[in-house]
Amino acid sequence: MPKNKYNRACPITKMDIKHIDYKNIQLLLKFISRHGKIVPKYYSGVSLVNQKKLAVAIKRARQMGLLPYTSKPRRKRA
Amino acid sequence: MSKRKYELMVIIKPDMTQKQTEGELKKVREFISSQQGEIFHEDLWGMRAFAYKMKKYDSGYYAIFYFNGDPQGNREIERSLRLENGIFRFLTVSLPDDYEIKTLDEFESAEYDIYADERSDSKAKAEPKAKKAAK
Repeated sequence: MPKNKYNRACPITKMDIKHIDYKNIQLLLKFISRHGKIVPKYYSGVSLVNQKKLAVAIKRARQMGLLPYTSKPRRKRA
Repeated sequence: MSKRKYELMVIIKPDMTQKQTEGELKKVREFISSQQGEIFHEDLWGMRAFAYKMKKYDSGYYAIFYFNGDPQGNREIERSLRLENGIFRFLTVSLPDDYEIKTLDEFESAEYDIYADERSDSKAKAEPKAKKAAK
């Protein structure tokens, strides 16, 4: 997790992602802590608009069992 | 009624036989088409481990249906899904018009290096400092 730097561009805008999909687990994993919590935008640098969309996507993924609510992500099983 | 794009993710209970699972998928398709929904894409993820235990299950059969439908129809579809025993969980999401469908492999294999350019920045900053130290 990089330390806070002021006035940096939002990583989601930079990557040109228009629709934050709750199925896009690889992307969402970048914005949750190792305990499964949503990383605050003052750490990740995500813009307010995108942070809100991200939060909804992460919560949807949690409901569908794609992301954990708490604790470390379990190792993948075959 | 104008139609909108929707996406329906369904999780089927893991203790069903293959025939029962197929039967449930067929039922979901029927629910959608009975409400004048037109399925334009279907993505079967298959058995997948949950990130946490839900109601004593730790995996489920994932299937995603992309369809054109209307809100009233959706309510009916969700009602019938709730009554269906083999269906463990479901989620309907409305999609933007320019939504690009991606397969599971595309999601899983995608790599996002969100702070790539910042790292190169910090290197560039670190180098002059090292030079100063050398002096």
